[in-house]
Amino acid sequence: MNKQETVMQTIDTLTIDYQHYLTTAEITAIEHEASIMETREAAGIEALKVVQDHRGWVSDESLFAISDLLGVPTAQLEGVATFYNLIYRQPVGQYVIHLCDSIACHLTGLDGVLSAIKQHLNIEYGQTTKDGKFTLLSNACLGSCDKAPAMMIGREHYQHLTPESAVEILQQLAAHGEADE
Amino acid sequence: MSENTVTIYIDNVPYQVSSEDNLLAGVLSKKLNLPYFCWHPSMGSVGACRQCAVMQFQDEEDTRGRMVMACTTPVTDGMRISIKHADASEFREQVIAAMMTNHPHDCPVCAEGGECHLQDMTVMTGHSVREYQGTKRTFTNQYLGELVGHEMNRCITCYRCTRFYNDYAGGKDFGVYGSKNQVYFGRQSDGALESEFSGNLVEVCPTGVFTNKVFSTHYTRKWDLQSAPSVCSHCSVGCNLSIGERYGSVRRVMNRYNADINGYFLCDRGRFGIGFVNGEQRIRKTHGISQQSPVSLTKLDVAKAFSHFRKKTFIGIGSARASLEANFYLKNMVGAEHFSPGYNDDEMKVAGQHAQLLSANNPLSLTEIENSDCIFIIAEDISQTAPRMALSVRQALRNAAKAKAAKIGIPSWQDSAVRTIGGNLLSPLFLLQSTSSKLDDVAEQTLLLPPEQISACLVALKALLELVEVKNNHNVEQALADIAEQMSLDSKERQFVCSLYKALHQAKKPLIISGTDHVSADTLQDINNLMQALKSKSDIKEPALIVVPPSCNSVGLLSLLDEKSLSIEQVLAELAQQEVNYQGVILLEQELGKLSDNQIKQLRSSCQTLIVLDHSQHRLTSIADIVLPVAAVSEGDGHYVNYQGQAQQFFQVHAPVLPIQESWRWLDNMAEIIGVSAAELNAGANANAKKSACDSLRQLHQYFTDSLTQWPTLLAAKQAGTQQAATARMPHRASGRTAQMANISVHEAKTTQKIDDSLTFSMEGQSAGQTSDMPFAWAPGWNSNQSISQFQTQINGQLIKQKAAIFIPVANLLLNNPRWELAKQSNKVSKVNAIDHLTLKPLHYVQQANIYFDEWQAAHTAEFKMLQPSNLMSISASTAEQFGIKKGQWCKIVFSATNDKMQLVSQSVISQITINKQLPETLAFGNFSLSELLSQPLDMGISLACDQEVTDYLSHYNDSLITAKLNKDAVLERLKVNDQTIPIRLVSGGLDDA
Repeated sequence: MNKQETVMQTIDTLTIDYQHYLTTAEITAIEHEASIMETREAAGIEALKVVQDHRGWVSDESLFAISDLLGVPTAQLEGVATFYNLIYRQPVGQYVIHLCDSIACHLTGLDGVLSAIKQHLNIEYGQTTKDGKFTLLSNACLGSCDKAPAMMIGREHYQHLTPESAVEILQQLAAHGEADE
Repeated sequence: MSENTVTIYIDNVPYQVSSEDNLLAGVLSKKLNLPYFCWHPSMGSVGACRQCAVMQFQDEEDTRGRMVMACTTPVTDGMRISIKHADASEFREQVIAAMMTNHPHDCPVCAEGGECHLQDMTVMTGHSVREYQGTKRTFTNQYLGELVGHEMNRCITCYRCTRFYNDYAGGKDFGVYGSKNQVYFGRQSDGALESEFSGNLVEVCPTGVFTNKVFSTHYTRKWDLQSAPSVCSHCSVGCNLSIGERYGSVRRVMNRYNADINGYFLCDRGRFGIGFVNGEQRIRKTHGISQQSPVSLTKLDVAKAFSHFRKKTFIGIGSARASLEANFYLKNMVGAEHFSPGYNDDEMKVAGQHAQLLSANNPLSLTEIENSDCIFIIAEDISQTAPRMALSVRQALRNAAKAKAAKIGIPSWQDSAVRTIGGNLLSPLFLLQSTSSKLDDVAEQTLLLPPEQISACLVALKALLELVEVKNNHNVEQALADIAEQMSLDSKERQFVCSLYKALHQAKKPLIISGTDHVSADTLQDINNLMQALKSKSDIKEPALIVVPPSCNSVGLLSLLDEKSLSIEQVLAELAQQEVNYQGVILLEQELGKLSDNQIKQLRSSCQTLIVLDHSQHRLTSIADIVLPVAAVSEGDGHYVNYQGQAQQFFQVHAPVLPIQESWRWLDNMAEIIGVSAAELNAGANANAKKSACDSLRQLHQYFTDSLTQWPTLLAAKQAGTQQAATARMPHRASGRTAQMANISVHEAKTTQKIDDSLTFSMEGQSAGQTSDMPFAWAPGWNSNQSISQFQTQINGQLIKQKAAIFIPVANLLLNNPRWELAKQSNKVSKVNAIDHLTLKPLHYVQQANIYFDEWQAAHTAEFKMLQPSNLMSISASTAEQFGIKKGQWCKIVFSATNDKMQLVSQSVISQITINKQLPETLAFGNFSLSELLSQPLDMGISLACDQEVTDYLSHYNDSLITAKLNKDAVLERLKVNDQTIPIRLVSGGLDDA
């Protein structure tokens, strides 16, 4: 029974101190969000975004630190984090591809686009490329049904995709970085 | 039925229903079948599951109608609806069909099977064919502790669990994760559920996602359980339970609806604490009585063993966990002047004050608590000592939000709407205490003070009340400033008293709650004075007062105390003086936990014969001359008296294996020889003419009524109304009844013959709903506990067959003895002044109350021992700074104090530290106990613990958890072996019956 280890390693809101985990910049940004909300717990989603902007994803430690900072239970924060698909609770690549898999995209050639991307990056849904550049995720609907198939990378939407254009976009990103960043 | 009833037409039949509730409640109150999942009678409507669809019609002409969800539709006069309408009926069936696409249909291996609301509702809608062929979503289950099991695949996403756990009970460690078809209910990560009410998930969940883990490991179907109505023996609230057993071992506890007390919910101590009944620590054999026959102990053996005690004088020590009958019998056997409740001098003073408060104030029921609009709790962590009451307090705090919603026409049953409009709005709760508590998050103000300083705030509030009428806020603060000056209150205390005063001033139904376990008699007297002052104020509504004693029968014991009753100190002195020639001491279910080892030794050495009646081993059972094994709550009949003074009967669930029998039966056996003190007998009854043995509780009561003076005022009224046909303890469907002893003999065994009058050990008899003491809840089509709506006059109303509650009078006879009177109040203020806490800085360490371990019986439950937390201590920010300690660090804390012999006593503890900003620097609290040799206040030094010390502590801690686990496994193994040789008795009486 290695209970002893687990006791030592458990992160706990009672004993965690957010100041050890979060940077001053993160704390300042989160406190700012909290100050403009009616209650501190309302700043939960913004706090998750702040931490993700700084670190790329939200780790368990970060979640507990935000919980300590805002006084919001971890269960509630986790509920928020897992409800929204743009909060990442696992490490992701530099670019996260949200490939739309709604009915309109399926009708207009998603399958080809998907297999082209998978083949180009050599990853499946939910995986990250070895160089840490790309993560491939499916997305319920991007609201671009009139311009399907569509995908979102960062804050940019790419529409009317073909297997070729999708791969080209990925190649450009890999080479030059995203246009608006 | 409430006065606001209107007529509605359901499938063209007129019904009278309450206009204050929703349509679903109205339909169910008429005992009509309409399926539902997310609605709960106590938690209201959210309209999440779409299961209770009915057709509503404009008028008689309207044939088209429109579909509405009954739970979110208010009842209006003359409304016409149809349950049977084909559209609604098909809609309901399709909703179930959709839910079933992900449900695993694993009923045969599910603990909920046979009492599953989902099964019932599926049958009710007529969804009988599985059409979906696709895959089902699957989840990983979590470890949620030793009490509640988790099987997420069965979830139908009704959201009841989180609505109960988070919204209703204020839990923090439970949530909803994900979205769409992947919604997960559980904790953020594996770990024991932290709420005191986690066990209710088992009943709240309509299917088998949350199951009773203890029950599941030694399982039997509901239809095979033999159940009896019982009363919780683990705190003074007196929640009603239904205890189920099979093959002679207790399997589980379920909630038994009582509109005035527990309603639909229990705390975890009440639900799982029953484990002590099956524990390894139980005493199963007599000690000190020689047995003639190798087969069984007979009454003759007992008579012989006691023969040389004929007409000898004993001191009897009763207890707050023994039944009213046993305590009463013991007191009458030994005589009032030789009876002790097992309290020490301080506790006797507290008892005296408690009796006085109880006789002057009628405590509210839990349902009445929920109507309060301002609550002030003094020095009692009810979230741990009377958890079910804390749950009611939580509901009361929602009254502000409900009132706000009512103003814009939202009825209180519209749960999500009320929560949205209410936001964080809560009725005021003030906590004046020494440790943080689970109610802190909903308190308007919490003031943490060392126990000794709590009185000062009460005195200040009283002084403020006694001043001339203070009308506006400025006056209050001015007046308080003067008082604070005199009493040296700091600004925090001043602010607390001031806000409290204002809140009480505005309240329409204020309530004050305190306790007796951690409160001194002086504080209780201060509360009494405060109540007097509040009563005399014309501009403040008189608050209700509740005093929470620690045990299930504390008030029953209190009702038996008088000016002659002895404290433990007096007992020891009496025995030492030898003025009366005592034969010895009889201890009735009394472990004397507060006595030091020295006092125990003193007790042993000064008494010739020590007779102990108890169900579990403790320090005294190992040194007693005679030990008699007594029935635990599930094995016998008797009455407990709750904090209000309400006497409630608990019934035998199964006949215990002899020689275990109820305390009162043992006392009855003994009384035949020792005799009953003549002074207590009725005029006319002859002390020497010994009655025949009492075979049942009814006969015992008859004997009490006929022969003893005090009893008729206690329970005689109950006698008259109990004649009725017996109720079956088993449901109609009990299976294998004729075969259960086939491995012993193929001949069908007789059922146990009933000794009690109102319940039978069989499936023959009146059905469960025909009595107010329902052994279990079941109605045709309703196999789960949700069937209770079939037995209520209306939703959340009384049971149709409810009998009137019986209240025991408590007189403050104790205070007739000058020994228990308190010093006069006049020098109080100067006493407070004398503590100069600016220069002395004494530190008080207070141990936090704990739901699992504070009650002696429940603490024996192996599952509870496995939930023992590691050491954690809270210190003030300034103390942390002083010692350079940061939050979460493992530290070595050295406590030291000088004892009365001027010797330095010290104790060191390894503990994790957390910082509480509200703590004054003179106070620290934690979850570990300190040696009794350390007198408060004490000195404290904190330093970082070295790795070795932490490792040593943790491995020691681990060992205790492993021991508890082994203990749990051993109990389970023994119970399973027992199942093979069922110890069924044919008569449920006492010795010589079998």
